[in-house]
Amino acid sequence: MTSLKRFFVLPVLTVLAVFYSTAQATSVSVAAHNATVPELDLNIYLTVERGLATFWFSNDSTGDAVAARIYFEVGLGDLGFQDPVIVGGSGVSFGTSFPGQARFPMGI
Amino acid sequence: MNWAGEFFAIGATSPPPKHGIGVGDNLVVTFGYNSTLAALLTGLTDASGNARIAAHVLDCNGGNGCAAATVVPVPAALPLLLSALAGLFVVQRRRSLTFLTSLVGNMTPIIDDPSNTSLLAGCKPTSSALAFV
Repeated sequence: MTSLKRFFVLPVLTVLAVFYSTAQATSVSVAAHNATVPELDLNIYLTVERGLATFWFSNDSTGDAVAARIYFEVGLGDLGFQDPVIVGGSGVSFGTSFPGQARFPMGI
Repeated sequence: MNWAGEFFAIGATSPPPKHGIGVGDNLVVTFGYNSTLAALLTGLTDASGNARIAAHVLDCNGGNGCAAATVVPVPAALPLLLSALAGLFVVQRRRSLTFLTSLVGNMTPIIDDPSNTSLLAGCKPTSSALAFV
């Protein structure tokens, strides 16, 4: 029985250790700050792997909420972020320039 | 919430409701970053606990107009603390069970017939291990 445990447990621990050493991930939920958004369920999945920090924004809302802009506060620059890359999903198109629109988060 | 301006900002190309992150959609933003996830999580809030990421959300109602709101990350400290405590509880419980299992596994049965208690006459517990049985 003991050898059987070692046979299964050790490989699993090894895989978990390798996975943890190469990729770290967690998720962060967001909440409305200055208004009520019914049925809003926006989540951010964070991954740090091989010199890249990935912010995966996922809209799991059951209503019609649409995230139109995303802001990273100036203090995040102190973390050493470099070379941002935006990858939009199907029907999602984001850019760093939106002329005629206020670039500051509303209500903050 | 104290917002000091943005280090990086992105917006949906016109028209925003159509090209924003709608229900079921997702968007990925990557940065070059040479630190840990723990440091990143810490950096998501400033010293006062204010969020450093914000999203502008339009709550559209059947095409009859959209209400705007700003959304910020839920403070991560409480969930992280609770998950850490839960992890410690599980580890501690497993250690206790392992200790008990090893004790029981190493004990030699002295009574083959449990109904025959005459062998116990006059015996006194001499080991604290008996307390676990």
